Amino acid sequence: MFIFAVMQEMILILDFGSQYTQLIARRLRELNTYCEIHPWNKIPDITSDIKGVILSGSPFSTRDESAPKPDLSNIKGKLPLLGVCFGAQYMAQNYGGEVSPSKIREYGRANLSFVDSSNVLMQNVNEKSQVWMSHGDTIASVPDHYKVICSTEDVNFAGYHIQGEETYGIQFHPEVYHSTDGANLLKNFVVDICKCDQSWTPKAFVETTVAELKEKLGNDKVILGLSGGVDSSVAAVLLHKAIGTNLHCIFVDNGLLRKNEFEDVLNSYKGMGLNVKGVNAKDKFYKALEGEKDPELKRKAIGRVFDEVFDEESKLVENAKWLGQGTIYPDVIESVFGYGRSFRNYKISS
Amino acid sequence: MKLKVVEPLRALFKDEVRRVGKSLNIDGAILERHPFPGPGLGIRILGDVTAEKVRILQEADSIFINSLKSSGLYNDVWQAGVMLLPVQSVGVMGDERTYENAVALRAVSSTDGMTADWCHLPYEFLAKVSNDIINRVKGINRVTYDISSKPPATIEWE
Repeated sequence: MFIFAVMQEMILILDFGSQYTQLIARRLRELNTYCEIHPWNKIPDITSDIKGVILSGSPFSTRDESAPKPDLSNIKGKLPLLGVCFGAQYMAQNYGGEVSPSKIREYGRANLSFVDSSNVLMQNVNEKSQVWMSHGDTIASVPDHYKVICSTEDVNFAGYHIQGEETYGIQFHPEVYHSTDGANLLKNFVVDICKCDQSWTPKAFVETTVAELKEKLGNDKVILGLSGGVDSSVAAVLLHKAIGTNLHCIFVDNGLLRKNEFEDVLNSYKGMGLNVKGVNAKDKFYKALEGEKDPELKRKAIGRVFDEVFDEESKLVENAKWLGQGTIYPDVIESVFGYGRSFRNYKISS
Repeated sequence: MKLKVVEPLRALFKDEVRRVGKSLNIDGAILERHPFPGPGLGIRILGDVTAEKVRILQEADSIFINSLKSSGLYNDVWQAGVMLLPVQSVGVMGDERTYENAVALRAVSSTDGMTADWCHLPYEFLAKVSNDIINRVKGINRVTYDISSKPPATIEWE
């Protein structure tokens, strides 16, 4: 499932569990290009809005029995495709080449020693420029129609282009800042190869989102808890733009805010035209905290009283159907390893 | 009460939320605000919380934060605040001996909150904040500065 109901031009990033996958997404967003990260084993339908696909790195070695084996039959040769690190190795090994353990493992800095400057992907990627490597395997051989487009001293196949297709593999990580021309490489892929029009701007996001919220919420009432922080404030303004006074905001004074914060923030919310109710619940919080010295129990008491106050206030909004929340993308991205299991538990080999 | 959930920012990274906020003309004071813990000053008052302790801490915190803003240091700091310690110490103010609370100032730099280093704020700045707090906030007679990084320490004290 994609995040937006109305599809828009995007790059699909298939995640194999690399620590850098989110960085690829952020670099693309910086190019005003929308993208989504999906686990390699849950490839969404390839619709016409998908302009290209990027395969991430991975803590796995392609030589492992348990290594991911994505089904690229709907993608490779049909859409522009860029494999990074593991992604590049997978496409080398799986289509007739060979991946073997490196004699010299490459972690960290390396410099390009050869660049095919006639290749579209390598425009403005300078010979000798620094690239960031993180791999214990190396591509030992590739089929004949794979053309080498860059190399380092130690790695001949640092980048290849499969002739006759818009398919590329890059051994280093263009998404990290330490790859000095990496942003150019990604831009070449997204703009010149995938032909994305770079129209994903804050303004475009607001238009799309407000239209979708209108469609989804109709005449329903929504309740949203404001904290004074960035996420809940921006979420509130977006919802307000879509449904106006059907958005009922609740801002609780727990008696533990900064000096004058409650009044100041409440006034600034009202100035933005938000339908916001300030609830003074100081005494309830102080009472629940009375004599409590244990940090964990203090936190729990504050959380409990907040839920009670918020519940009570929510009930006063008749026929409310929705609860608005300021959840952001890093909380949403589905992990390759399933929820609650961090990649940090794995040895990062790519 | 059963409510369905709607999350309009599901597609955005944190820096994109700020950019969208900017395009919606949301006040910079809200968009550039330091992260602030949900339990608020409740976990910056070590030990039990009373309305009086909240008042004392609010005064000290407001001096520190406003000084950061007026010195142009606020946006170089990821998160800042004052901790009210459950420690009293002896002081001398004028000809009188005092026995009042100590506070710790905390200011850290970070990009994601996962790791953080204490900010090397100028001595002159710290001296002025210390002086202002002790002179203006009744109940505080000693100001310290927390120079621990995260890890091993955390940003908050509780």
